[in-house]
Amino acid sequence: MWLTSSSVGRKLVMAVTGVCLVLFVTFHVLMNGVAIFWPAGYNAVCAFLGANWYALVASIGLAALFIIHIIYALWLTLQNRKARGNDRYAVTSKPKQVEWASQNMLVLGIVVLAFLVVHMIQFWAKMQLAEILGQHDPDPANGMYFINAAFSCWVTPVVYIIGFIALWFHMTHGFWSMFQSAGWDNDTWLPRLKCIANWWTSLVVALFIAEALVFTVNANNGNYANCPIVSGAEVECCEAAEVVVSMEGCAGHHHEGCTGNHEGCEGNHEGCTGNHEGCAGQKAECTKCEESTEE
Amino acid sequence: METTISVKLKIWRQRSPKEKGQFVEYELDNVSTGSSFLEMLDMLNQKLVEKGEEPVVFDNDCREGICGMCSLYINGHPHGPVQGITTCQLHMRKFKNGDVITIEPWRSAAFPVIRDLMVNRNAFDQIQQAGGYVSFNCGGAPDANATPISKEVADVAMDSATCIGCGACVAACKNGSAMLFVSAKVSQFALLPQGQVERARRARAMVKKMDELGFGNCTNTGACAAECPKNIPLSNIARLNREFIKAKCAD
Ligand code: HEM
Ligand code: SF4
Ligand code: FES
Repeated sequence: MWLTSSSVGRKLVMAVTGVCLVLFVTFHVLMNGVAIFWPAGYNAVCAFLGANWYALVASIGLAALFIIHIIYALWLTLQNRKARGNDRYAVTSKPKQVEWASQNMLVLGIVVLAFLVVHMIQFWAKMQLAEILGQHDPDPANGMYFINAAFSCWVTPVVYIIGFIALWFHMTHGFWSMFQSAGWDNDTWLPRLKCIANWWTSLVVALFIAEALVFTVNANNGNYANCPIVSGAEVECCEAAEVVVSMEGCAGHHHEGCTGNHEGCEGNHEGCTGNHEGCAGQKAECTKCEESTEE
Repeated sequence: METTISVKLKIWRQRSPKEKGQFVEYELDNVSTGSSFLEMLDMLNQKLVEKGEEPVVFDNDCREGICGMCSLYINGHPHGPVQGITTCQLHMRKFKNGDVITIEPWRSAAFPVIRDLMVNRNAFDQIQQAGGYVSFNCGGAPDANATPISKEVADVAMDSATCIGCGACVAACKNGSAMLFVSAKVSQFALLPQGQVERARRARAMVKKMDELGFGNCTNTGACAAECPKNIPLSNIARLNREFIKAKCAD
């Protein structure tokens, strides 16, 4: 089979798996963008992509892509080292046309892989895997809960940013290289592809880094912990009310008809369906509110 | 202005393919900046012979950049630090008085050292024999204009045909890949009407031979094109990929 037995075929496999991974990474960064602007929407995405059959099929496909890409990467690199021989040059220098990344694709890939392992433990194992195993506490579809848990620890953004930088180098080269491997010979488009590669990759990586930073700040300020959506706490006061999200203080995830927590009143009381006149804005029927205003 | 300089040479000496080699240092004075790099080595060899020592073995032939025999890895670059020329076209005016010049053979598993700076590049001949030609029945020479070829296509084919088979691309490549050489040889015919009959067969056979001989897989680093004395562009490699993929899909 020429996809395994010929060098050009092996490179084609690298290119095809590479293009799928680039598309996946791009989809992933956009999906995470939702978590910055609309946490409840993000949870809806998580619920949608749980352990349904379509999400499972996609996950298995994705895992296969990664595995093929990594096996071929190791295989190609070993062959290339052998082709280079045991004798090394005493003096070497890199012509300026040669990208550093292009000569270090395996190392960069391994850094990305290391990040990936941490990332899978923090999210995949607790979400899709937990759902497959039938665990319900914490709710595997509560993506924001796991973002909060992961990013409250300062090590997480550091590991992530290292992974993203490695991805930047890997993808800026890989992006145009995959077209070359697939046989697009064009002297006009080669420089353009390199330019698109830089823009595409930089935007993806910048967005990833921005997301990691926003998550870290919110997690460490307790914005997520106080948020009933993230903590998964029952919202008693506003049970019946629609959830309207705004990030302000996230105490701050407002529920319609409820302007938030009231002073002296832990806020959410059974039987209290919203804001009431008087009672720093609470209704007379609400005994707890009455107590608190009386004090 | 022509002057003379002194240089310190660090040259790889290896008596035979099996023996271990090592660097030997030589001091050389009175090197004219007007002389070529190979003339400088001739001077050194003259001195060594006069002293009764073994001269340094290195490949060379035409000394005008067309045969591809000269194959020296000079200060970290195949064919020396100047891009777009062969070793024999390199002049001593590119060096300064007191420079240390390290000269190594091509190092790649497919190009074993024969002696000193001379390597065995027979692998390239084998790849050529596998398909780097066009076959036709000879008769009267056809009229040159009988087969029209556009200027653009003729130019690209001609540029590919300037590959002299020196092997600098393999020597420069961290993967020991021969893709630039093979792609130039495949492109020069794939682009022309005369090459069409054997087009798919050629791509298949040459890549197969290249793989068999143990050359590496191209990762598009581009060191080959940067160091190629004939400036063969990287897009040839994409063309070879396409030719091969198309040939295999048609099988
Ligand atoms: C999200 C992650 C990844 C993406 C988006 C990605 C993307 C790519 C792309 C587009 C290529 C270029 C293919 C070509 O030149 O035809 C490539 C090549 C490569 N990748 Fe990845 N990759 C990823 C992960 C990895 C991992 C985890 C490893 C290794 C452990 C790896 C190792 C390599 C190697 C060694 C090459 C160069 C192979 C060659 O050019 O022959 N990659 N990658
Ligand atoms: S492609 Fe360039 S470097 Fe390679 S053999 Fe031909 S002339 Fe030499
Ligand atoms: S000796 Fe012929 S190209 Fe240099």
